[in-house]
Amino acid sequence: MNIFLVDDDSTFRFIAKTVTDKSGVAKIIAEAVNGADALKYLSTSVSSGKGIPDMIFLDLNMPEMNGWEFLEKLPHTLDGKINIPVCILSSSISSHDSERSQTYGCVKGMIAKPLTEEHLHRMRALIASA
Amino acid sequence: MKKISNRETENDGTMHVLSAAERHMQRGTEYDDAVKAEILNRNPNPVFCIETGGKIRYKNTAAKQLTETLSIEERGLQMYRLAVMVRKVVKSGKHQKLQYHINGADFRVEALPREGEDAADLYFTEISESVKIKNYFEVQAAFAEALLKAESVEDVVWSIVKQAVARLGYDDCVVYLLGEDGKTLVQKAAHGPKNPRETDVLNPIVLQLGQGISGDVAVTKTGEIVNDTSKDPRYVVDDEVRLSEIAVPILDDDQVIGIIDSEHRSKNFYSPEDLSILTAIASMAATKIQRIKSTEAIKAGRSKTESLINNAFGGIYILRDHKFEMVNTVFRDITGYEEEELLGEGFAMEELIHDVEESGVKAMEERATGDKAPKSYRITLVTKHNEIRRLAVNTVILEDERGPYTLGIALDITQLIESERTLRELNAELSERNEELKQFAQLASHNLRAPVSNMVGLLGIYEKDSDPNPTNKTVIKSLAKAASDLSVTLEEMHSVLRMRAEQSQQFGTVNLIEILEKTCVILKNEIDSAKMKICVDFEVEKFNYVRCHIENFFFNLISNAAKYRSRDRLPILKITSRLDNNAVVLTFADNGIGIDLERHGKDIFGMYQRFHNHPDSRGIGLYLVHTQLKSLDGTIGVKSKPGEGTTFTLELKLPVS
Repeated sequence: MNIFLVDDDSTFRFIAKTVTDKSGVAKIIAEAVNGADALKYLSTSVSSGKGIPDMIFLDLNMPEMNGWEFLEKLPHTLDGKINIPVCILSSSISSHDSERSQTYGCVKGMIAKPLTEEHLHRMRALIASA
Repeated sequence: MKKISNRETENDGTMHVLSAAERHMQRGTEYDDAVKAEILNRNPNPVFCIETGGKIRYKNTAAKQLTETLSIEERGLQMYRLAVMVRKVVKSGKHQKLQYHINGADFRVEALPREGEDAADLYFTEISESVKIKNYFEVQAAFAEALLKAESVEDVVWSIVKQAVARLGYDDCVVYLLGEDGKTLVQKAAHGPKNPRETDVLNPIVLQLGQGISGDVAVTKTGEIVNDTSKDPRYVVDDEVRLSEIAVPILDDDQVIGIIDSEHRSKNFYSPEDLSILTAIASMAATKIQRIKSTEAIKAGRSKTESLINNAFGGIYILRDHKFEMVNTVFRDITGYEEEELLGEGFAMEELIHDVEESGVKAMEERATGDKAPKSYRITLVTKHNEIRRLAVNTVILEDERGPYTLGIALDITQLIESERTLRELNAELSERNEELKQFAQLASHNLRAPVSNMVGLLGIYEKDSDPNPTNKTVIKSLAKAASDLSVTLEEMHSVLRMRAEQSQQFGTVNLIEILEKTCVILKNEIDSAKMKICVDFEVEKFNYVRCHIENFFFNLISNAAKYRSRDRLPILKITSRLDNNAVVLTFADNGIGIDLERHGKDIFGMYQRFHNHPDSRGIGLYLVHTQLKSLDGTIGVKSKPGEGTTFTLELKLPVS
């Protein structure tokens, strides 16, 4: 499972990369530090057909463009060519966030940090069943 | 020793009080006969001194006039009768009072035997009916005049003894008044030996109603003469024993309010005429006392009203034609002006007013159109000392014989307004601080979570086995524990904040079975590892409440039951529900280790209160349950016995539909 990780927190990115590598079930193929960076990457990726992830791991609280704004703009960037599932990663998931995330069809899961191997297994199973 | 009366009745009916010289003379001492004759000649009543043999030692001018008009035979007969009287008196050795008819007139004769001599002094007093009536009339007139000047009940009772009784020539008299208890008679005024000076009563005695002759008269309400007190068992000795007594009641509307009582050392002293005059005096006195009491009651009422007005909480004033007609003490204090200044010519209410609020302007405009209804408004006033005061004013238009006037009540609210302003400022400051605190708590809860979860994540991927140093291993292990604890604490803080934010959660239909099933799924691991059996008995399953609250109650109380189970038996949790008036009562009864309520009862629902050393005990669950219940007027109670189990009873107030 190829993962595109969008998080401004470099420590978390390190943890996620280590856990993912260690798990043997997933691999982080690209990283972005905010929503805008992420859209830029995806735009290039979609147009070139290279480096398209199986899933996007998205943090909500980021500078410049946060996770919600990214979700708003994602369909436009993908331009209906492709559907990439999103899993929200957050250090605090409120019921409000949970309800809001359900309004986006691409959001397939929510994970409370820290990321564990179990999370990865669950996400992989989810993609497989889709 | 001769007993001598100090009174004589003049021929014209007025009382002639014996002079000191006459009284000395009666005692037969230091005056020579010439002086005696001169003194006795001034007495308008006949006076004789006759020996037992019939010889006249002397007679005064009035006595001469009385006998000169008699024929020789008649004069001889009368002299014989007088000699017989003298012999009797001298033989008895006692002062005697006798009736005597001579020359067509009735006389009272006081016969005084001379000590050691065969002779007696005879003092004649005419008592013919017309004279007596005239005398009584004059006593009444004098008493009526005295009553006119009387201003108090005390004045009245002293007028009875000083102006009436003294004129009747009684030796002694006391006036009793009914005590405040209505059961006793108290001596209030006296004449004679009981009155040594001015308005003093010597050793005033108190009688019970029915006690003594006076007490008995107070009960019968009928005046009475006792001609011989030695034969009357009711007689009570006051200052000395006397042989006759008269007592009349002072009646007010047929109620006894006092007694006029007189005693005399001689038997048969009082006549029916005495009873008549005293009864008349008592009646006049009662009328006056009644009037005085009414006046006193009115005065007391007026004084109470004035006191009430002056001590009222607010300033009270009456305005007529824009001028003050009455101001109370409080209003004077508010304005700083004296009463004379406020009520003085040329001073108008307008001079005090500095500003009127909109409501006041409206009220005044309405007044101008003839609106008389009560009005409330606020004004700003300038005091005499140029201080500004804020007043809340209530006015109403009333009317009397002089036309309409304004009755106003003004409350000084200067301090109140200042306090209100301070309170508003404090409140705003407090709200600001509160908001800051709330934001800080949210920031702390939210922003700390990312680094803490990173710590937990980092420690999770740290390869413990790669470091051979055992100290490092321990350090990392401890760090992992600390990070985990911090993470849980943050999660709880977050729960509390979330719960506070969700206080206004909407009511909706909740289904207890659904919530229980959901909770059992969430707590599957805990319930399974505890092997806990859950029994339910829901009399009411669906009702209107805040769903997330019920979920929290079930989550915390079921997890507590699993956590604090007894190791000695299989854990059983019984959950029930029932409807009680407008509330649903939920109970969670377990057979766990229980809580020592004597030690922890008062803290049980506090934040971070832990009563067991259970590793997962955080002390937050019951706090959340309690806070949520309280926010919707519900209650929670707990019964527990260490070693036996615990029952929580939750009363959920249902919303009024």
